[in-house]
Amino acid sequence: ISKVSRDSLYEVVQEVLHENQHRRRKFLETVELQISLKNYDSQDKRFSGTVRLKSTPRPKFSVCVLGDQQHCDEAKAVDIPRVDTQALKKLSKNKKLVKKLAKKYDAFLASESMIKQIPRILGPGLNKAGKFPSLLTHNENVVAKADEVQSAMIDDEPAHNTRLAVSFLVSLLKKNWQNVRALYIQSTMSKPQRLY
Amino acid sequence: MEKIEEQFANLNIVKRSSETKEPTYLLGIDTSKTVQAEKGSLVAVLCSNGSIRIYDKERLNVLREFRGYPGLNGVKFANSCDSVYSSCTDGTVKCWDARLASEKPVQLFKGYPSNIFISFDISCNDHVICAGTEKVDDDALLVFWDARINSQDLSTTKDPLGAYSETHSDDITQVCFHPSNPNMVVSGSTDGLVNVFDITVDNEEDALVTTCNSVSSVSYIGWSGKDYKQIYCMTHDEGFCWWDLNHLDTNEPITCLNIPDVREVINMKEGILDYLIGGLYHEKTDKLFVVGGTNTGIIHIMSCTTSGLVHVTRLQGGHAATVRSFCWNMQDDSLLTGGEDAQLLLWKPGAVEKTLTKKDSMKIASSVYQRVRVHSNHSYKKRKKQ
Repeated sequence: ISKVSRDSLYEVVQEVLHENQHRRRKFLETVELQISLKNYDSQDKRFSGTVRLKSTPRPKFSVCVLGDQQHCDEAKAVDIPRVDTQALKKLSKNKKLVKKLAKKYDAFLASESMIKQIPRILGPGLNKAGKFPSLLTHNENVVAKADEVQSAMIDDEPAHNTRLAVSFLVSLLKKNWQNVRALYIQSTMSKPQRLY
Repeated sequence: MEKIEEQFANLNIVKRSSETKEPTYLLGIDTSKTVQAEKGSLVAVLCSNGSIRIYDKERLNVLREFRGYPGLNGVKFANSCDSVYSSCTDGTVKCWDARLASEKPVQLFKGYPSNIFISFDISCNDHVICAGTEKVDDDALLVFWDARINSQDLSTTKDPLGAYSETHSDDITQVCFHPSNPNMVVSGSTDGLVNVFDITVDNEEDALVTTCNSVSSVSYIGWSGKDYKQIYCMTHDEGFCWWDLNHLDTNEPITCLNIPDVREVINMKEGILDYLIGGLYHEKTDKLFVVGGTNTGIIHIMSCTTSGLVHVTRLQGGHAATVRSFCWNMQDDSLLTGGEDAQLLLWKPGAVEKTLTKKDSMKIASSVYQRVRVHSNHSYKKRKKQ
């Protein structure tokens, strides 16, 4: 990030993670990035979107693959939950079962051949739950993609992820850094620390 | 370069809108679809101060203004008359007669309690209006009305026919009816999904033809291709997706193109791309173009191919700030653009004398007639004042 030096970012993150060390027990904390904006007109373009972090910081984040033969085989090899075409058809338009499926997993990946069938086979259950699958192509490794969403952040990853998130947001703001008034980082067990 | 691309490259400013007292962002543009003898075409512009301005298309002077409606989203003319519509966060879709001086809407389409409309469209036969809401509690709705004006129906407020509530999980930012099939409509949301519906089917579940996932937040959607069987969308983080619905029932993938951030991959000889504004399907040549721009007001036109977006041309000397809206006219290949600099510009193809100097402040020069001339060597001449 141009306005925040590597060193100060690292320092702040360290402070946030290790402050009150004596009070910390071993549990997974949440790191929050708080952004204060300025000079943003309510009629300016909406900024919205998803940024892919180096490692998605959500433990116990479960992924289910709605796969064709190849993707299901890949998923089976590493014990990733999967549903093949036949199993999917069994859920056909059964609202209760679809709802159950939506509740059971945090995210879904689907092969191209499956993804276009989803509304017709499952109805809008996954849409409403905000869990409509992302496309899984044959160029992508099922394991790698699912793995991505299951790891938690360790060591310098919070700093790296903060850098990614801030860069992304700044790139969507019309005046870039001129629209940012302040940045703070905070974790579950710490006070907010000002980054910018 | 193909002929259409040459035409885009030769677009030049023919007219600038006259200065108005209150500068606002020009957020949406549409032109009247009717052709009336002795009456020129109209342009309706959505302004960020909560008004709809009606301009004469060739002279770009303001004919009338419908003021005092904060929270308006979108602007659209009917197809068979000069009614103009806009949706509003106050829970209504409003309709004005663009030819009448009266500022009051001639018709109001009321939604359900707590509906906040942020998008809408009207079907190609003017029969149905569909509006999308913000997410309120757990629901984001697509609300439908019968738009036909019944001469016996004296009431000027209409209630909905019904709503879809199960197919989006967040703010519905775009609604777009099929250009020639009044029964098909596509919706886009900040949940990343693009839903296609056949509204002749009784219930919502079965009406849902397909769901495409942009995996981001949808800012613009449109139909393209021969017979308009393709859909495309742009996202708030400047991504672009293109799907071919012809392949819904075949073994081939429906995804034609999926670019997470166009700014990062677009190859331009010079300059940068800051944002995408929308798409433009050119029927005669069966080509899809993407329109984008810079925060200094330069407009970039890119063409869509299955291997990516290709930069075609840039339009400069027009706007002085972020460009927010455009409207392409298929009949005369003219382009209207509107920006945060409060200017409405009319561009037409053809060789023109040297372009006007770029306006870098809110001050707009007194109206100068700029005629399109072929092979002229003069720098612009002042024509008779309007």
